[in-house]
Amino acid sequence: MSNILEARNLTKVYTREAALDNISMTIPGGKIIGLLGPNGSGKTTLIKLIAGLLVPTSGELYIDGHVPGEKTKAVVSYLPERPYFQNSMKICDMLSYFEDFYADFDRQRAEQMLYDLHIPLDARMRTLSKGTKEKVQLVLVMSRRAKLYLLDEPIAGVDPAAREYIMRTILTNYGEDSTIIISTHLITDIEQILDEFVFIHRGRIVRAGNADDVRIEEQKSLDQLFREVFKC
Amino acid sequence: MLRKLFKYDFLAIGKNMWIFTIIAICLAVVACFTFNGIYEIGNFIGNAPSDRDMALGVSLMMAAVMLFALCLCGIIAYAVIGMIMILVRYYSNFFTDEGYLTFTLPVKTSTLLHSKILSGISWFAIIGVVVVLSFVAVATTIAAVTGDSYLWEVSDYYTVEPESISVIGEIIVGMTETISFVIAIIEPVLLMFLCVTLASVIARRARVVIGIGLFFAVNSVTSALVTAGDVFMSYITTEYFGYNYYIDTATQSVFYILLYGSILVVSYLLNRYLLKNKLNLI
Repeated sequence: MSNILEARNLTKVYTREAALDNISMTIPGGKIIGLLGPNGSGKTTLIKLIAGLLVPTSGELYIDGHVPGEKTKAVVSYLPERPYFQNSMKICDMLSYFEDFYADFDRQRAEQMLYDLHIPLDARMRTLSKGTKEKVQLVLVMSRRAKLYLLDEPIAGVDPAAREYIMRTILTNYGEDSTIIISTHLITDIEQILDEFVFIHRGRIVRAGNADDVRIEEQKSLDQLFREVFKC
Repeated sequence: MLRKLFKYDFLAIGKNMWIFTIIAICLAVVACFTFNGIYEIGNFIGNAPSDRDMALGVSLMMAAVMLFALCLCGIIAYAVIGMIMILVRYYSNFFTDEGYLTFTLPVKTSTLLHSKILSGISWFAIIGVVVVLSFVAVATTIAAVTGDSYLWEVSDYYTVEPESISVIGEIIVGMTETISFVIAIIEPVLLMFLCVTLASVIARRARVVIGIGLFFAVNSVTSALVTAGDVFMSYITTEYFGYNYYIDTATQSVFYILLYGSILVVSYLLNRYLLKNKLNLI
């Protein structure tokens, strides 16, 4: 399967410090990849670069063979770590919004998922709890038939029951050819679904590989390996 | 995509602005009736049969004048609120959490900016029409009630008729004034957007306030330039051609076009560059 993402010597410098420092990586299609690292390691910056929200200071980045822009945004489904809704909008308005702008959005699938979650379509965003907003956002993002899903801390702010639902939603709603990049520092909750992992620290990739290899060859869970690598 | 973006932007601003627009129109109607009332009360005071009636008339007059002034202030406030609404929509859709959705839509950054400009200009024009018509309605009521023609005398004072009619001169003046009028509608919207973008790139807090501050600062400088330019242009043209209505008016319009047109182009290009390359959603 061809590579969905290719980064060469990717660097992002903010005013004073480098958030990403000369990163090179290749991500194949059809995989679930964990982008793992402690807080402030550069995970969100990398995801924002892939989503096209930031411009790299130097280096090259290709998504599905294109530099981030209009074409890549049509194939990337991005879940940021915070809700991005207009509070005055109803859920059904958001569905129409996604339907209007994303050709790959499956409205029926979204409505079914919202029905399963007992979330009314006519509810206004401002009336929803934080957890419900996160669920609605996840439903919208996972209802697209995207080639690449970018999920930035999808389980950070929700209770364990919601985490389970989110993981199930991710697993049951992505196509076999699609790739999912999940950024988190809560490894225990997601490690069973990961095919590959990338450990990132202070803007550099410190280790990357196959999740099963770690389990079989090193007889360790990713969580154990994470604790070893990022020991304070 | 531009059409869809424009639709969402226009409706998002309109969600509250339609209510304010209706209120502004109602205020204009109330102001017209109130002025009529003020005139009637004035007559009543003039013919008051007793001191008690006169005192009552004066109290009523004060209340009516205050109501009239409040209505006029309300119409001006409507214009200010409208501009703030356009700015807040621009800011919240681009630089708050909403930006995470806006800037990941599969559209070019310039298309996003164009939709904001179009919706901003549309609302700016609607607000302008409502405010101008409201004041025209009030002015017409004043003229009709008082029977004075001073309003029209004031407008006559500003209309300098040329000594001899020139068809080419009329066409040139008409064209340059039309272009400068169009630029005068678009330029403030683009400049306001640029100021908010600049504030959002350089500041972390109170970005809208800083943006508005920047806008007024730039506007003060351009107003000073316009005044100085007007005087200078009039002097130069009169010096070389003597006084000529067409040359004087057309030169003034060309000066406006060059000045505000440059601000418009710079605002657009710089804003597009910043949104494309310097965007940093917190």
